[in-house]
Formats: sequence, structure tokens, C-alpha cells
Amino acid sequence: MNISERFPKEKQEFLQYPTVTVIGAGITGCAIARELSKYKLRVTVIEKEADVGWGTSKANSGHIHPGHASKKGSLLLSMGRRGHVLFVKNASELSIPMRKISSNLNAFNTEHIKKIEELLQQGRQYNVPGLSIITNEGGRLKKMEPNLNEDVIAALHCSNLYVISPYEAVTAIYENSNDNGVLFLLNHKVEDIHFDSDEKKFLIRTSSFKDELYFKKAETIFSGAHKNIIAGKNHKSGKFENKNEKSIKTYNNFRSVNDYIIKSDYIINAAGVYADDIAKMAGDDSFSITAIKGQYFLLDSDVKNLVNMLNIRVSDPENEESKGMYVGLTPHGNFILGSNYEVTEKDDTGTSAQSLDTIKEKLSRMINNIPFNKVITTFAGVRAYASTGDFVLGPIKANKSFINAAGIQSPGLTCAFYIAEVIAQHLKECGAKLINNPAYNGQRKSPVVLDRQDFLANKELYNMNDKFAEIVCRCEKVSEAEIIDAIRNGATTLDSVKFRTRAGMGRCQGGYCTLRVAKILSRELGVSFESITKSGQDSFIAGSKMP
Amino acid sequence: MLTNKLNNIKVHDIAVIGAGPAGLAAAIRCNELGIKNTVLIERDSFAGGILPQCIHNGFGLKFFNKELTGPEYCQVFIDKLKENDVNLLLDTMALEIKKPSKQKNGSPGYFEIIIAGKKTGFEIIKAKAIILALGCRERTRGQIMIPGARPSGVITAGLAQRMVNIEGYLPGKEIVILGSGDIGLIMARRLSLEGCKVKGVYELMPFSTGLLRNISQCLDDFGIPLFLSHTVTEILGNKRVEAVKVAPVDEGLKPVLEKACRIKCDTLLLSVGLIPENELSKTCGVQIDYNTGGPTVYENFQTSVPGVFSCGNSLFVYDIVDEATKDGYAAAESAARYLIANASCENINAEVLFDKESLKLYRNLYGSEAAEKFFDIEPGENVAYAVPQKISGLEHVNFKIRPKKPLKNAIVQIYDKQGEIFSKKIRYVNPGEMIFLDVSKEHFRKYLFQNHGRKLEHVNHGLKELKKITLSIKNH
Repeated sequence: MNISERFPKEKQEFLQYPTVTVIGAGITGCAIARELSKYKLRVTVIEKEADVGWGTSKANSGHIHPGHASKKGSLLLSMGRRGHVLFVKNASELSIPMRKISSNLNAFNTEHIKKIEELLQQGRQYNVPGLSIITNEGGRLKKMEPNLNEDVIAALHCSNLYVISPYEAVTAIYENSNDNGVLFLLNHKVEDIHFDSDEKKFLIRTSSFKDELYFKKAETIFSGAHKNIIAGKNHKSGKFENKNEKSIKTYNNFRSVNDYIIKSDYIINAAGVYADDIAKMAGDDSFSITAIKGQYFLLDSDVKNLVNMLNIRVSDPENEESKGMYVGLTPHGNFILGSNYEVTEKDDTGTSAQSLDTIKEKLSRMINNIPFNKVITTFAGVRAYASTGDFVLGPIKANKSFINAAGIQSPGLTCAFYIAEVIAQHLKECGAKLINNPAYNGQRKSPVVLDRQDFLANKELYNMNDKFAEIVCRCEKVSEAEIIDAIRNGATTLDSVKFRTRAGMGRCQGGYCTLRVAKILSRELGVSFESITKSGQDSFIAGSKMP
Repeated sequence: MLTNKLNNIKVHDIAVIGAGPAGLAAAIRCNELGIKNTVLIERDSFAGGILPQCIHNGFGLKFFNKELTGPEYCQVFIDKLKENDVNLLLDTMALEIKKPSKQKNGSPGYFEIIIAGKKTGFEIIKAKAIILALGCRERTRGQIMIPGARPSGVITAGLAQRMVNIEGYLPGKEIVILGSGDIGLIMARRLSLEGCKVKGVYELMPFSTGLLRNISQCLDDFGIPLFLSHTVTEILGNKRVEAVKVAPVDEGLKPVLEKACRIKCDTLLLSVGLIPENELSKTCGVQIDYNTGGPTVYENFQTSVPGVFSCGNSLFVYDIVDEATKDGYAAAESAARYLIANASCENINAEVLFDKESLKLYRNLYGSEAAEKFFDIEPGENVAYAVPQKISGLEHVNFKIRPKKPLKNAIVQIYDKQGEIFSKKIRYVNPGEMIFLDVSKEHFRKYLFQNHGRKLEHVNHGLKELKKITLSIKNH
């Protein structure tokens, strides 16, 4: 072998590319990583959870807003419309399933009417199509929505929005970013950031939960093409020394913790509700993040015709920041009810009887006959509200190589791809050379799934792979072939499989398939059954093996 | 081999779906009656339903007059099935049932069951009649809406039982159990035996919903406390359960949060009820009773769709397996009668099932407008549900009645607007134990003749107010 074969030029060139580390693999972080993979950069994403999209991206309404409903003078409003357009464009490239719906923002009194009239004006200003105000004259609204409460007097109708599964979107972006050479360090939490002014590089120290899977993956990470990751001193001893007591505390449930040091030319902070903590590590305290919790009910898919469209209440004065509680639809045919607005701790995604009762009561005054006996699950999500009341996008004062993509509140999901473009622009302005990566391919094929309307149409799939006829999840009718595909695309936990394939998401909530999926995970990942978790770290499915 | 068999048989006389105790019994009985091409469809890789994981004893007291374990009990029927000529399809899930389309010659036509299995792929099985023995599923945390975090370690008792008894893993070390249903009680003992610390069983109601014998054998004998009128008000823990909060409830079953206390544990087991599994039944339009969660059935186990019968836990949730087996047999006999009445099966031993008069009656009753001719049974005072929900008054009925609350010195009454039809005194009534009530056809005839002064056949036509019969449990 000659020298050029042994050291291929394109690989050498790759090592010359600037390194960019994105902190946080939510929809914002993933969209940024994919955007940056269009250029000749070495992009690493660090995520503390075992999978992408498990923070704010996991539990929200999933609405791709039309772009008229945010407050005046904010980026939230001015980015909304183009955000919507870019989402639709990218979703089609990435095969993200979208369901087109319409919505009514329901007004109960004259105050509300004033509000919806304002919103209509705002929509016109930003060229949002499909908006109109409909009054209940002649029972018009009631005809559109038979279960609508009699107290609704008018509504701002919008015929142009979409609903998606946000985690399906994040997974799609993750898979495509992976294909375009982005390195994801899942299960790694950023502990400390230091800027080495001699080398002009950031040093990022991470810790991670050491389990069977960690060792399986460590090899891949060290052989990774990025070569900017150095195992910490204590890597082999498995002992973690940290002067920062607080971070040790957060890991006190962990059996053992390891650390890596990652060198990076640039950092993009997309750490969701933790973005202010990360920014502080780099010397930026210009904003703080408040975690705002919203709680939801999900109804059984056998509930039909509750509403024909998304029905939103004009938000109450105490909730003015939020878009209002709603009775909505999911892309999978369930009805979803949510959500309220409550200040909480950053790691609190618990539900409470009191809040759920409030939602129940308020929504029952908008939509009649909501079958609360058909609830299959309740859940909560936290949103990141920055103290500035707006998106925080751009470099920090202390170091222009550190760029915030923080405070991503609603319509953050809608704006994800637009935010990614804006961040790339900031990176360019900060001096990074953005040279087009000719190998970039933004297309992602959607995973092969069963035809669940006409099962006999799956004969061809069965001929290709008989595991398509092995139904693992009885409620959502998910086959073993689909689960294996999800695992090969990066799922390592029960929840990862659930969010990718819907196995365990139906009315029995995993009663039938939990052990079956855990067995498949153990077999496909080549790790023991005991090491399989619900959602990473110590969330084991099974305890000890019986003698 | 099985696949070949499937291809050779174009139309099955009867398809039994679910090879749990009720389905096994139904398939065996079909065969005994001379139906030679019964197919039994099972989604798991073994027959027996839930029984193989129920390794405790106490099964078969009624049926075999001795105490067997779950695996022993179902093995009796699996062995019997092997002797019989039943086509058992394992690892096969029935996905959808299509009702027969109307036939020109007036014959009832065939049901089409769409199945998926690794061996067969996606195929259609045709059958003249269907027996649904689909079992039940466990009520989940989501349905009872326990507030709090959503960590790992919150699992239903039946899933924990499978984990321990089939897979060989413990769910955790320190266990709190919510709900005093039988599986929860059995698991309290099972996990204690395996060295887990069961910290207590908490029951929302002021009484236990499990069998009395299980409370004494599974809790009392192991010193596990049972807290009645208590519930879990919050689940704590980020990735894994760290603790739960429990609180007493007031008379309206609302938790008294001021009295809540925190209990450290790593696992919360839920034994909060079972729901008959009927997603498949719904695909062919079977009507579901809101109270049982299972199909509305006639006294012969036929559902609202002629030719579709229901038995076992998918009809309603049984307390003991022996009764499910018994009803599996009975449903098979009714399905066989249906085939004879529709003249669509030659081999069936008709004499066992019918005399001439009753064949005529059967044809008259279960024709296309069956529902018009029947009495509706309505659950009255202290009755959660009663099965069957519709009776003809012309046949013997075995009522199964689920009481709502415990009651001493009770009387079960069946009555309509005109007065009492039947009553029986029962010394102690308990929601955990089903009441069985046999009412003979002579009894109905006598009553209806006395109260209405005419023959039942005439009552049956068009007198709506007479067609409601109420069932109540009262103080004696």
C-alpha cells in the first residue's frame, strides 16, 4: 500500500475542518447539526439523555403553527411564517409524516373577540393564508364542530396548519444527520466548559452513565472519524473525580460515571431548559431559563368524532404567554387534550391531579361530551422560556465562538429549521468558513412500515422479511421487523423503540409488548436483558436475574 | 405442516380465537361434538393463555375437585386438545374479522379472519362461526391517572408475574402494591418468597376486591399489611421509582392529601382491574356492554352478530378459571347449535344438542331479528353488571352477577314492572366473588303466564315496557 492509499487525502482533509459541538439533541440541536452538515465541518452533538428529542421536543402539541399568534415585536412572531414554510419544505425532504388540519381559536366574550381580531390583523401583516373570523350566527360554528359548547360566540379559523409527532421529526433529522457524518454522543452530560486561549479551542468535559451499552459504544466513539474526543484520565478506572459537588449530586443514582474531554472550535448551545446553565459555563449570564410545564391527556384511538379540528381556548390572562388550552388531534388518530402553563423545576415532568382537573374543567366548557373514561395516558412536558421573553439566538459577549440557540419556546418546533439557518449564518459571521460539503444529502427515506388499514396488502413485505408478520405490539400492530429497523437506526431503550415505532403507545401501554421488545433489544444490541432500560441511566426494566 | 393444513381447508366450521382456558375448552368441545375442522388461533408461542405464568395452586377446585397449579390446569386441556383433531395455530395474531357478505341463496356465508404469523404471513381464514376467547388486559397507570413522574418501575401485576415466572427476573427489591385484585395479592406472596420487601397493599375501596382466601394466604400469612381506603397520590423518581406518596381517601374516594406519607420503594405494582379484550370483536361490529367491557350476549353466549360467540375473560372478568372453562364448553355447544340451525355442517351430533321442538325454537329465536324478541337485563341496586344481558325466557339461564359493595344477609332479586320473577337469599355478598344464579325455563314460563296472562311467545312481540328485567341485590 502506498502512502496515499494508507492516508487518503479526503480523510486528512477532514481532520482540518473546524469542529463544532452542539450541546443538546432536541429538535433545535438536531436541526442545527443537520444544517451544519451541509458544510465542511466536523459536527458533534452531545446529549445527556439516551436518545434524541427527550426534552421539550418530546412532550408538546406538535403543531406546525401558521405564524400569526405570537406577541408583537418578537422573533417568535417575525420568524413564525418563514419557519412554517421551511418546516414544510424540510419535512418533505426528511419524510416526516404531517397531518394537515384546521383550527378554531374559540372566543367566549367580547374581550376574546378583540383578541382574535388583533390576531387576524397580525396574520394579515405577515401574509399568513387561510385566516378568517367566523361567528356563531345561525349556528355556523356548531355545524363545523357539533360538540362545541354553546357559550362560544366566535372563532378565529385557520385552514392552514399541520400536526406532527415531534419525536418522529427529531428522529428523522437525527438519522439524516448521522448519514451526513454528524457524530452523536448520547448519554453524555456536559459537566464543564473551558476555553483554552492558547489553542483557541473549547474543552468540554462530559460524564456518562457506565453500563453495558456504554462499553459497546465506547469503541465506536474512539474509532470515530472526528478524533476530537479524548477519553478522560479516569476512563479506565471508572472513577469520577469532580470538584463541582453539584454535578456529583445529580449523578448519585449512577453506578459509575466516566468522563470525556471534547475539543471544539465552536459551541452551539441548544440545551433547552438547561441552556442558561450551559451558557454560564462559558461566561454568559445574559439570560435565565424558566421551565414552564404543560400537562396533557391522550385519549384512546377508538374515540371517534370528538372534534373535527383543533379547538383552542383564547388563553386566560394568567396564561397569556401560552397559546391556550386545546382539544386537538394527533397525526395517529388519537385526540389529545392540553395544556396548562405552570412554572416548575427543570427536571419536573410529573403530572398533578390538580392541574389535570383544571384542564379537564376548562376544556369541558369548550367541548361537550369529552370521554375522560377513555384516557389512555396523561403526561407533562416542560418548555424553556428565556427571561428575555424571546428566542435567544447568537454569539455571547464573552466569546463569539459560543453561540446560543436558547429560549426556544413556542413556536420553536415550527421554527426549528429556520433557527438552524440563522445559527449557521451567525457561525459564518463569527468567522467560521462555511464551505459546501458536496457529499451532503438531505433526503431521508421513511422507514418501511406495515399497511395497517389493509393488512393483506403486506404480503410482499412478508415475502421480503417474515418478521413483518410477527406482531409484537398488539394495540398498535407493530411488527418485529419494524422494531429491529428502529434499533438499527439508533434506538437503544424501550422508550426509543416506542417513540420510533409506536410499540407500547396504545391502550395497554406496553402491558403486552414490554418484555417482548426488551428481549428484541437485548438480542439486537448484544447486551444482557437486565441492562435494557426504559429510558437510559438506571431505568432498568427488570431487576436482578433470579437464581 | 400447520400451514399446509391451513391451505387444504378452505372453510372452517368454527374458528376459536384465543387458546387460553376458555378457548381451549371451546375448541375441545367443538371437536367432541363432531366438528372436525376447528381452527384455534393463538398469538403467543404456547397455549394456555395466562395460566402458564400462574404457578400458584388453587385452580380446578370446582372442575376437578382438587387444587392444581395454573400450568397443571391448562396442561390437562392442552393434552386433550392433542388427542383431538384441532388445528392449533400458534404465534398467530388475528387482526381483523370481516362479517359475511349477504349470500344470494340465503345461506349465512363465511366470516373472514385476517391473520398474521411468521409461518403463514398475512392470510385469510374463512369460518362459518366464530368463538371469541380473547382474554383480558390489565388496567394501566394511564387509565387510573396516578399523578407524578413517569419513571421505570411502575408495572402491572400480571406483567410482573410474567417477568418472574416465565422470564426469571425480579421487577425490583422494594415493592408497593396498589389495588387488592387477585393478581396483586398473588404477586405480594410470590415476591416475598423471592426475597423482595413488599411494603404494603393499598386499596382505594373500603373493601378488598380479591378473593378472601387470597387475602389470608397471600397477605396475612406473610405479614404484609393491607391498607383499605388508601391510594397512591404521586409517583416520585426521575429515571427509576424512588418512592410513592400514599394517602387515605374520604367517602367520595378523594385522597386526603394532608395525611399523605412517602414510602420509599423502587417498584410500584398495579393490580387495579382487568378489562376484557375486545378490539378484535369490534372489527366485526360486535356490540360492547359498557358495564362489563365485553360483548352484550344472549343466554347462549351469542353476541349481537349472529354466528359470533364470546366466552372467557373477553366476555367479562371471571374470578376463577373453572367457570371460564365451563362457559367455553357452553359457547362451543351454542356455536354448534348455530351451525345445525343454519344447516351448514353435516357431521355434528344433533341429538346431543337438540330435540326437534327446540331446534324449531332456536331457529325462530336466533334469526336475523333476534334482538327484537329478547328481554333486556338491567343491572339494578348494588349490581355492577350481569351476564347475559339479553334473555329469551324460553331457555335455562345461568346468570353471573357482579355486586358493587359487600353486603351481609342479602337477597338477589330479578323483577320487572309487574313484580318479582325470582329471588335468592345469599348470606354474604362480596365484589370479589361473582354470584351465580340458575333460573330454569319453567320458572320464567310460570311467571310470565301468571303476570301477563299469556304465553311468552306472544309477550315477546312488540311490548317494549315489558321487555326490561331488573336485577338487584338488596338487604334482606
